[in-house]
This record gives sequence, structure tokens and C-alpha cells, in this order.
Amino acid sequence: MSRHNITRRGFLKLAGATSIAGVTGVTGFPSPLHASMSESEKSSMFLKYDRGVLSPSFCEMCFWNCGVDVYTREGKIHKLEGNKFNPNNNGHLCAKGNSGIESTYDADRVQFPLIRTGKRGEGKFKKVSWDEAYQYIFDKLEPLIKEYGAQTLATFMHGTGEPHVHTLTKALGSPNIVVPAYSQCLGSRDMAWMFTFGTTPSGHEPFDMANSKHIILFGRNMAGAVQVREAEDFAQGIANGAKLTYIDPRLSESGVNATDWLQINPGTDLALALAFIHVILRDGLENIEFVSKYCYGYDKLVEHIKQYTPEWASKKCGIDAKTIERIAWSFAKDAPHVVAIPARRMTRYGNDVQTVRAIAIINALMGNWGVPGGIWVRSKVPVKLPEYEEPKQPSARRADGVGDGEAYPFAPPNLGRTNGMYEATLKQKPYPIKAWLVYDTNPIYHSSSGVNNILKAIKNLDIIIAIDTQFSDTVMYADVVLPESTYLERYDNPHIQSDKIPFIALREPAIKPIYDTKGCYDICKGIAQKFNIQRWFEHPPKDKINDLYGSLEADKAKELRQNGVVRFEDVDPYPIASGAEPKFNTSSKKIQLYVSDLEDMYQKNGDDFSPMPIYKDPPLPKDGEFRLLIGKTPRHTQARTQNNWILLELQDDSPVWMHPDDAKRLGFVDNQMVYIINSVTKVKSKYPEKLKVTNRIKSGNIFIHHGFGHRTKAWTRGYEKGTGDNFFVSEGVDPISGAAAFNNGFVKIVKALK
Amino acid sequence: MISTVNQKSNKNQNLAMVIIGDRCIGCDACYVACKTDWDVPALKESYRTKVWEVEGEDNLGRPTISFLPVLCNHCQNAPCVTVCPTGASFQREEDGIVLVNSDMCIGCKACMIACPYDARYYDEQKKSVDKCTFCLPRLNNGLDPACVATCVGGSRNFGDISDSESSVSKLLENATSISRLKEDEGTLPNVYYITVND
Amino acid sequence: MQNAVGFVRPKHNNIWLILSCFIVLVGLYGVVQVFLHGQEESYGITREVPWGLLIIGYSFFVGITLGTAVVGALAHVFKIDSFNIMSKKLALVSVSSLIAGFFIIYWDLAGPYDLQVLRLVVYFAEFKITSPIWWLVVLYASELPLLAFEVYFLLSQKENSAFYASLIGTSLSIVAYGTMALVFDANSSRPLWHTSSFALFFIISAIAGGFGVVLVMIFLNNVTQKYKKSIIVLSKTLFFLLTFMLVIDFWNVVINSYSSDVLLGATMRLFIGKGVLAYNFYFYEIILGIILPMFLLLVGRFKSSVLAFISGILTIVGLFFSRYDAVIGGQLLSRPSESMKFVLHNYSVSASEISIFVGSIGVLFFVYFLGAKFFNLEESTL
Ligand SMILES: Nc1nc2c(c(=O)[nH]1)N[C@H]1C(S)=C(S)[C@@H](COP(=O)(O)OP(=O)(O)OC[C@H]3O[C@@H](n4cnc5c(=O)[nH]c(N)nc54)[C@H](O)[C@@H]3O)O[C@H]1N2
Ligand SMILES: Nc1nc2c(c(=O)[nH]1)N[C@H]1C(S)=C(S)[C@@H](COP(=O)(O)OP(=O)(O)OC[C@H]3O[C@@H](n4cnc5c(=O)[nH]c(N)nc54)[C@H](O)[C@@H]3O)O[C@H]1N2
Ligand code: SF4
Ligand code: SF4
Ligand code: SF4
Ligand code: SF4
Ligand code: SF4
Ligand SMILES: [Mo]
Repeated sequence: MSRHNITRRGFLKLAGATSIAGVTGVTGFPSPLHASMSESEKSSMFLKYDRGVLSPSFCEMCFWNCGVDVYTREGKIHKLEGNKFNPNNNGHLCAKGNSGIESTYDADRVQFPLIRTGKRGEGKFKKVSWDEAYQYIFDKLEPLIKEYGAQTLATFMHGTGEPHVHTLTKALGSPNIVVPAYSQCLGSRDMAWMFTFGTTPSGHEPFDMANSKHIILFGRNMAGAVQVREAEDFAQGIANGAKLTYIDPRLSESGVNATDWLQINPGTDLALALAFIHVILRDGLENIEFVSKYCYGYDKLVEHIKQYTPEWASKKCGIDAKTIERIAWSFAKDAPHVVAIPARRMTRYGNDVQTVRAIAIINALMGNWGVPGGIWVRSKVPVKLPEYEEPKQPSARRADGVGDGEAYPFAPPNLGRTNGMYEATLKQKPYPIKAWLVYDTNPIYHSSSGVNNILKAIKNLDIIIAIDTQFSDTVMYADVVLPESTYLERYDNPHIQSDKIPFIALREPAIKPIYDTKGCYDICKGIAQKFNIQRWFEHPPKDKINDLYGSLEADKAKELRQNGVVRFEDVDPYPIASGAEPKFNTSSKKIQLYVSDLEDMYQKNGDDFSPMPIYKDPPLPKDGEFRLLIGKTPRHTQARTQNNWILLELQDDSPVWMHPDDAKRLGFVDNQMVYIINSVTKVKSKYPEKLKVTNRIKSGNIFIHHGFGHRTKAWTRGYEKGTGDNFFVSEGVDPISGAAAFNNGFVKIVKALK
Repeated sequence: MISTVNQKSNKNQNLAMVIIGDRCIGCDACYVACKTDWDVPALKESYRTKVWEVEGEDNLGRPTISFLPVLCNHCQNAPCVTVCPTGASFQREEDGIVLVNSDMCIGCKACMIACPYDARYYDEQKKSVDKCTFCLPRLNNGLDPACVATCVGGSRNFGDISDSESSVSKLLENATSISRLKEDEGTLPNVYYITVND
Repeated sequence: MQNAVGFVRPKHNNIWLILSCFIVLVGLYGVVQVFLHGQEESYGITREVPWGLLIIGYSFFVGITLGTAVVGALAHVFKIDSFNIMSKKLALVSVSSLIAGFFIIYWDLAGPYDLQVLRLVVYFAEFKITSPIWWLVVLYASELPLLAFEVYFLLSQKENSAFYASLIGTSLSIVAYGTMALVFDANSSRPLWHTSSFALFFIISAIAGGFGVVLVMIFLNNVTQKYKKSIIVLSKTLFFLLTFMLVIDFWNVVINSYSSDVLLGATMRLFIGKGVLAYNFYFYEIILGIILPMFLLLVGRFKSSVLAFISGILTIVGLFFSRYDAVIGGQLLSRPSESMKFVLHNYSVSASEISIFVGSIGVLFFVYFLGAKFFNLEESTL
């Protein structure tokens, strides 16, 4: 028989439409008339689309807060769409944002207030009323405050409800507010930027990739650690033909269109950056006009950088000298429309501030400040916004080493050091910490290092209060749990963002809370009432939205009402390009190549504090050990989405990446099951994880995605899926910022029998 | 490489998706947007679109990756339509969209077998085979397909390639390369993969 | 004890009928699972491997139908020694196996509890002549009555009519089974099926299966003495068919492994070395299903009824595995684009599928023994 040709569609037309009457009457069974249906009749079931009712919101699936249009049909949310007008996402949502409906319809949520009945961590609770929960908090916390002072309360928070928790903590009298976004995430990067430019990249980075001609990413996974507007700009830049130099020991999603992928030795970005600076200065590639006008410390830098030749750097970072020169030249050639971007979670090796300092200097030397394709200058919302009275900052000394005269004088007190607070709790020093209030963050088990110590530390606590939407691992350890309504069910303060295009976005509930939950404002107010400090809670978010409307001009108010977002486009993100004078809020009022603010500490404490970065080797794994690298996956957010069925479909594990040479040496094969062992604490992963043998990771290192390995049985889908990094990352700190250093965690990998 | 589009005289429109390879960042937003909009069953293997992470090697033996979004190609010569015994699988004359009328399907799965792209899945709730509809319900109400609307990298584009003024026609015109999946199957897909950089 | 037409209740032991009822009951497990959890959860089939054991079972049962019909027809045509007694039984096996095939495919189609299959009747009116399945429905729908007629004519000793019914029925069987092969074969997306020898192999192996069934039945009916000569003819023919199958299998796997069609080459490699189907293929399909029966037939010099009996069983088992290998093998590999590596999919048979398959064997036996209970299949002439 010869090969059949798949018959042509035209052939089908031979099939004349004849009809016979058929048997029918069975439920759901079509009428025989269908037998002669025309194609358009057949497609009639595809023509209706009920969008439903629209409510404006912004996304809470990560910290980027994209604009979301929430569509509700008959009281049920059926679809989230990106808000076209929101500059954070221009109409797009990432995988997590799209899956946000599940945050609300997941029956594993915390559905009512709870008080612990079993042992901590055991997960035994009783259902209580809101008043009982508040009373319980009062009964426990009040005596502690009496005995130890209000500073015995440490508040961990992250997310849109932060301001209310902030107010509550201050009103109670404690200065101990910590936000993981600083000491576990952006801290070192932002401090380095602050020293250099007098401002931070902050949570919404000002890197103008869409207009760039050359983008260098120093371990910033722009494509995989997705934040929508940034990812859009990144894709746009590439589509416009920008060169991409991607620096990472691991080939992540961002390597997809890299012109060059530099597989650097972990922890040596500083050497590479210094060598780039060396080549730039040696070969006179800097924008000398810009530098002489706006930069401070040029001559000192020229002298300082001489030692850091490409040949020297090559030995440290493993990138050959020729490549370093080639990229430096190519980068400078396209200046000023170029940008060198540091990692966002810059809590890695304990040299992070200095590493980002060097990266900041590269940018400064290119003169890309306030220029298209470089770094834009963000503007504030140009409107007089309503103001509300706040409790004054408590005067007590902080417990986490932040503040004047403390170990970390430059760290911002409104963010604090999460890791410092763990330590204070563990050691009960400088004074007893007896209470934790945890809002919208998951410090126990996940967004942390040295989990062993944290489990020890919390033994010192007389009360742990958790405000969360789901049964996080932290909630399992809490004494009292206050369930917050999800972002689709609650009002929140207007989201006001200084940016390239400053804007304000609204969040209104799309549906009523489906369980006995409340918004953060109401929860904080409920607690405040017990302490009789409710006078700080007189402006619920809904009123604030109304006040906001009142402060906007009619056309802007209308825009906000119609779009859920109001944009202020009449600002100039490129002041230098347009000839305006930029201001730098540093101590020298210039871009600081040399940071005199560090001189004192440099004298006292040595090289780590040098006003110009001095290279130091990162700690290295011993023979037989691997360095553990961690990172975000595009399919989940931190440790919060691993019970979301849609995202679990996309990824339900965290395979251990290992280089083929290492695997061969150990006799491992792809897909086999392994355990991870922490070389210091000897903790072993509780159950085996799959090995991914790939040359996408540099030999000597292993990699896993952050966020997996939940131990909370209340998560029916996410329980014990994948292995968490939390027991294996290191506990170091950056000496300048006081932020954590996770990537000096060394581990052994052993075979699992089956 | 092909530079011409499908010619079909009696179609008013030739709807097509044009996927820009250089723009796909593998974020999987499209997967989730599609699943939520169409209540695609909660099952790993039920999806209308997904994005393959393609690992490869360059000529120096260094690893490379790229992303390949796949969905039903709405083939002009659709083998799934040819093999369907009931007419449940059919192609619309007016725009070339290939659909499954779930009220007519007997679940023989011959269409799943015939499709060279594994584009179909069996939907237990509908008791029918199902697949991407090019979001006809949305199109018919003036919206872009859900996966296109959410595409973070701006990789997915949708429109009428028989209209030379449409954005997708312009993309095809200015592309540095154009391809379709498994051309040798003779299916004439209406999903195009292009690059915009060299 | 005999009336004019032979529709006579013979002395019959109900034990077999009861036993086959029990086998049918095994199928209840799967059927209940489907009711409770749906097909998706009950069956091992997936998006990439949508045809599993139930389709394999279907192609196996209708293969037996074809095989037995062909042997029966040959008996008619060549008037092999007083073969008509076996003819009745064979014809009944043919019918029973077809019914078993219908039974098993029913559970593979969507909405078995909604009688969704009736849609086929409703939409049947539009001639879907491009659809092999549509033709399959037409052909098998006409085959069943024909085979039933044959049984009727044989029972009523209308030799001539039986002869014609058998001839037409068998021809239809061949066409139908060819169409069945086409259901696979027509998919250019599945190159293992889309080969020149696919339909031929399907038909030849089914006929071999038919010969296997006859040899088994001769043995079980204790008529080996009487059919001495037949056993030799049947054994030799079976040997020839097995040789033929071996050649096609060899050609398929060995030659096609080097095919210029990448997918075909890749798929073929499932069957060699450490390929996932290699064990199935070599052990069950080739050694157990072809080589061993050939060897046994040779050892017995085509005369040994015992060895012929064992060979027959092995041939039937081999037929099942050849269907398994073909149906599954054709689906295991795919890739979304030419530029990608093949993805090896997984198919593991579920308990529900096995139970329905076993249940279908029960259906075959049940129908057969029901026939045996009500009709006189024993020697009626002479
Ligand atoms: N080991 C390790 N630690 C890390 C990191 C790492 O990679 N590895 N990454 C670090 C980084 S970059 C960051 S930014 C931090 C992030 O650290 P976290 O802010 O702790 O982030 P998540 O793990 O997402 O935990 C957030 C918690 O908020 C809850 N939640 C979600 N939505 C709401 C809501 O609307 N209301 C309330 N009340 N709760 C809500 C979730 O249920 C979850 O329990 O982690 C840091 N820590
Ligand atoms: N999908 C998704 N997106 C997210 C998040 C999420 O949870 N999920 N979280 C958001 C948050 S809070 C943050 S902070 C950001 C984090 O954004 P990033 O900082 O970009 O993300 P990471 O994944 O922590 O790290 C990125 C890469 O750094 C590499 N790396 C490790 N060590 C080194 C090194 O020594 N040198 C260099 N050059 N590279 C190294 C890792 O291999 C990894 O690929 O992502 C944000 N976006
Ligand atoms: S980046 Fe994704 S998860 Fe984060 S706010 Fe935007 S849509 Fe939500
Ligand atoms: S991709 Fe598959 S399902 Fe879609 S039209 Fe083509 S053959 Fe049919
Ligand atoms: S499964 Fe349904 S749509 Fe597919 S071929 Fe069979 S009847 Fe047609
Ligand atoms: S076009 Fe619509 S149905 Fe098709 S993959 Fe995209 S979102 Fe899904
Ligand atoms: S949404 Fe767009 S960029 Fe993201 S994976 Fe899908 S096609 Fe690629
Ligand atoms: Mo972060």
C-alpha cells in the first residue's frame, strides 16, 4: 500500500449535507436537526462572551503591583486582565498575576480567626470570633508591653496593607518594624545606589531597557524573575536590537536572547565590574564631560582602579580578559544609551553593597543618567495629596542594629533588618523581644535563612500574631491568626507611585469576602480598639479613595474613575537629555564615585567599608561541597503560590541543577532522586528531590528555585512539593547594609535510594 | 522559509497568530490566561497553549535556550477535521478557525491522533475533545485572544493576514525569518513564527 | 433430540456460561470507576497517547473476528474435511468477538452513561467519507448482521446460503479490518502506522490469530483424531503466516530504523536495544508470539495436536502484543517542531482499562457459550 495523502479539506465538501431523523430524547442529547447544521450554526456556541462587571484593582501576587481589571460574572470572578493604563504593566499580567483568582477561591485559605490549641507548628487551632481574637491579643500583649516596654513587639510586614500595620506598631509604641524587602532583598543594592546617586532603584527600577542599545545584567533574571513592565521593556529592547550581556553562573530564562552569556564564578561580579571600570578608564571610554560635571572622586577612582586589570579579574571571575575588554568597548561605544543592571535580590555574598557600587560606577561613567536607554529620573505625582496625621516615631532604641551609633547606621529605620530581628529574638538582646506581629510575610520557614535558629528564636516569644490570607508555614506557628480578605475582596489605600510616568491606582473589592475575613485596615483597627488607640484609625481606605478624588482636578478624577488609574505624563524622565540640571541627593550633591560617608568606618573597620570598592574573594566551598545558588521561577512568587493549582501545573517541584561533570564524578544521572545536606548544620532535606543534570549551571554549584517545600498540611496541593532553599542558604550579612547574604550556603548532595 | 500566506478565495478573513520568537521570555502568562478564561480543566495535560523551553547547544558546545509557544495552528488543511466521523470538528469558512462543537463529539479521539501538533485534549466535563478556539468568543466581542492580550513579551500577535494593512501582515512583511511548524505535514498552519532580529 | 433446523438445546454444562459471567463481572470494576470518577481519571490515556488498551482490545477482538471468519470461509471454499462443525463454532466465535469488540470500544467513547454514542447515528447522515472511523462504523454495522446470518444458515444447514454469507461476511471483514488499519495508517503524523506494510501486517496477523483459534478449538473440543489432516494443513498455513509476519516485523523495525523519515526512525528505535517497547516486542511479540509457535510447530512436524494447541495460544497472545506495540508505539514519540528533540510520552495501563479488557474477554465467552447453550453446535450432519 502506498502512503496516504491526508485527504484535502476540499474533499470534505463532497460530503453533502443530508439529514435523517435520529434517536433522541436522552438528556443533553442534541436534536437531530443538528445533523444538517451549517458551519456557522455549529459555531453559534462560540459567539457569546459575557465580560461581566469590571472592578479596578492592582495585583497582590507579587510586590510589583500591576494594574488589574477584575471581571465578575454573577458574583463570581471569572477573569483577571491587565489594566492597559497602568504603567506597571500596560495591560499585561504574568503567569502569577493571571492565576490570582485562585488566591480567593482556594478553599485551603484561612477562613475565620483562629487561636492555637495544639503545640506551635502542629497546626491545631480553634475557630474564634474576631472579638475573641482581639481580646486574646490584648490579654497577651498588654502585660508584655507593661513588663518590657512596647519595643518588645517586633512587626514583620510586607505588602499593600503595610501602612496600617506600621501605624498600629508605632501607636503601640514599638520602633521595631522590619520589612523583608530591605534586608532579604533590595537592601544592599539600594544602599549602594543611595551612596552613589542619592536615590535608590527601589521596588520599581528606573532602567530604560526599552530604549537601550546595550543592556548588561549582573545576575538580574529579567525574563524569569518577572515584573511585568520591566520584562516588557526588556523584550522591547531586545526586539529593537539591543545587545544583551547576561552575567550569571546559570543560564536562566534571561539568557534566551543574550549576545553574550558570561558564566561567571559566583560571588565575583565585583571583580568583573572593577575590570570593566578599569578598561573604561584605561582606554578613555568614559563620558568625560558628564563625569567632570556631575561626578565626585574621579581622580581617586582612576588611581584606585589601576590594580584591577582584566587579566587579574579573569583569574577571579573566570571570564577571559579579551571578552571583558570586548564587552567594555562595545558597551561604551553605545553610551549613553546603555545600562548596567545589578540583581534585585542582592542578598548574596556579603560583598553586595560594594558589588553594586562598582555597577553604579559603570553607569555613572557612561553618563546614562536621565538619558533615554539609560536610567530615567522618576517624578512624584504632581498633585497635593490628602495627608493624615500619624503617631510619632517611638523613641526607643531598635533591636536590629539599625540607627545612629548602631552597627548599621546607614540602614533605613522604616525598613529595618529582618535578619537582625531574628537575632535579637534568639539572643533576647539588646533587650527582650517577646512578641511578633507578622503581616503578609512568611518569615518562619521561608523568606529567611538559618531556619533552625528561627525555630529556636520563636521559642522565646510569648505571642505570635499572624495576619495572612492563607495557611502559610508562619501561620502554622502563630498563636492567633487573623485572616485577611484577599486583594480581590477588599479596599486598600490608593497605590501612589513615583516613576517615569507617576500614577495612582485604585483597588476596590470585586466581590464581598467569601469567608469571615477582613481587610488589614479593619484588623489593625480592631486590635487598636482593644488598646484604646483607635484614634489613628479614622480614615478607612474607602474614605481615602474619596479624599483622593477630592484632591484631583475634574479631568484627572474622571480618568481615575474610568480607568482605575490616573497617569501624570507631563513629567520629564530624561532631564539630562533635555538639558535640565539634575539634582543628586548625596552628601557631595554629586554622583559619588568615591563615598566619603564611608571614610570613618573604613578607618575603623577596614577594607569592607572602602569608599571605593576593594575586591575580596567570597568564601569558597570545601572539597565535596557545592555552593547553593537560588533564584525565582517565572511560575511562582516567592513562597506564597505553591498551593495554587494552575501554577502547580506549570511547576510543582524544584529540581536540583547540577553540572554534568559533577554528576559524573558523583555517579549521578539525570532525574535521579537526591537529598541536600547543609554542610554547617548537617540538616538534610526531608524528602528526596529530582536531579537536573545540565551544563546550564557552572560546575561546583547547584541551583534550586526558591519557594518550595511547604510543611503546612493545610495546603492540600502544595504540601511538601519540591524542596525549599530555607534550610540551606547561608546566614551571613553585608557589613555595610546589614542585609543578608544567602549564597554562601554550602551543601552536599547525596543519593536517595529510589 | 515561506513568504506567502495561505490563499483562500472564499474566506472573508484569514485569521492568524504571528509569534515573534525574539520576544518570548517564557513567562507562561499565556498558559494561565487561557486556562482561566476558558475553564480549561485543572489537569496538567489539559491546555490549549503552552510554552516549550527548548534547550540546545551552540557551535561551541555551550548551552542555549529558547522558548516555543504552541497552540492549535488552525490548519488550513486540518487533518483533525478530515478524520472526524461526526462533523464535530469543523473549520469555519469565513475566517479559517477550526473548532470542536462539543454537542456533536463522540469522543473517539481520532482527531487527537490525527493532529500532528498534539493540540487537542479530552475534556471530561464537556465529554468532548477540546482545543484552542483562537478565542472566537472574545474576537466576536471585539477583544484580542486572551493569550495575546496578556503576552508580557509582546510575542503573540493576532489578526487577519489577508488584509495587507493589518499589523500581523506588517510583521510578516518585515520579519527576518518566517516559519511554521512541520510544514512537511502539508497542514498549512495559520500560526507563524517569525524573528525580527538577525 | 434434534429438530429440523438444529436449533436444539444440547446437553450443556452451564458451568462455562457461569464462569464467563464472572469474567464479565471483572469489567464491572472499570465501568464503576468510570461512573464514579470519569474516563480521564480511570484510564491511563493522555493527551499525547489518547488511544490505549481499549483501542488495542478493540483491534484485537475484531482481529479475531476477521481471523476466524477467514478460516471459516477457507473451510467453505476448499471444503476441508467435514469442517462444517468447526464452521459453526468458528462463526460463533467471530460474532462473539465482534460483540466483545463493540463492548470494549463503547467504553472508550465519550459519555458512555449519556449514550453519547448515539450522536454517531444522528450525525451519521452527513457522509463523512474522509473519516476512516465513519467507514468503520458503516462496515462493522453491516458485518454483524452478515455474520449472524452465517451462523443462522449454518445452524439451519442451509449450506449454500451459509457459503455465500460467509464469503460476503469474510470479504467485508477484510475490508472492515483494512479500514480499521486505515484508522491508524492514514495519520501521516504517526509514521510508525503510516507505513506501506501496516495494513498488510494487521490483516495477516489477524488471520494467523484465526488459525490459532481453530487449533485451540480443535484441541479443546476433543476432536483431534477426526481432524488429523486438518491440523497439518492448519499448522502449515499458520507456520507460513508466522514466517510472513516475521519478515514484515523484521522489515519494519530493522530496515525502517534507518529510515530517512526522522520520526519513523526514532519511533522504530523504541523497539530496539533499551527502547521502552523492546522487551514487549522481542519477548512477547516475536519470541512468544512468532518464533516459539513456529518452533513448536516444526518440532511437532505439524502433526502434534498438543503443540499445535500451544502454538495457537501463543499466536493469539502474540497477536495481542503486536497490537499493543503498534498502537502504543505509534503514539509514544512526538515533538512540537522539527527543531526540537523528541519527547517520549508515557502510557501505563490503568486497572480500569485492564478490568474492562478482561470483562470484554468475558463478553466474548459469554456470547459464545450462550450460543452454545441455545444452539446445537455439535455434529449435526452425517
Ligand atoms: N531562603 C530565601 N529567603 C528569601 C528569598 C530567597 O530567595 N530565599 N527571597 C527574599 C526576597 S527577594 C523577598 S522579596 C522576600 C519575600 O518574602 P515574603 O514577603 O515573606 O514573601 P512570601 O514568601 O511570598 O510570603 C508572603 C506571605 O504573604 C501572604 N499573603 C499573600 N497575599 C496576602 C494578602 O493579601 N494579605 C496578607 N495578609 N497576606 C498575604 C502569603 O500567604 C505568604 O504567607 O523573601 C526573601 N527571603
Ligand atoms: N516570577 C517571579 N518573579 C519575581 C519574583 C518571584 O518570586 N517570582 N520575586 C520578585 C522579587 S521580590 C525579587 S527580589 C526579584 C529577584 O530578581 P533577581 O534578583 O533577578 O532574581 P534571582 O532569581 O534571585 O537571581 C537571579 C539570578 O542570579 C544568579 N546568580 C546567583 N549568584 C550569582 C552571582 O554570583 N553572580 C551573578 N551574576 N549571578 C548570580 C542566579 O543564578 C539567578 O539566575 O524577582 C521578582 N520577580
Ligand atoms: S508581576 Fe505578576 S505577580 Fe507581580 S504584580 Fe505584576 S502581574 Fe502580579
Ligand atoms: S493544529 Fe491540530 S487541532 Fe489544530 S487545526 Fe491543525 S490539526 Fe487540527
Ligand atoms: S473525538 Fe470528537 S471531535 Fe474528535 S474526531 Fe471524534 S467525534 Fe470528532
Ligand atoms: S487563542 Fe485563546 S483559546 Fe487559543 S491559546 Fe490563545 S487564549 Fe487559548
Ligand atoms: S506570554 Fe508571551 S512572552 Fe510570555 S511565555 Fe507566553 S508567548 Fe512567551
Ligand atoms: Mo524581593
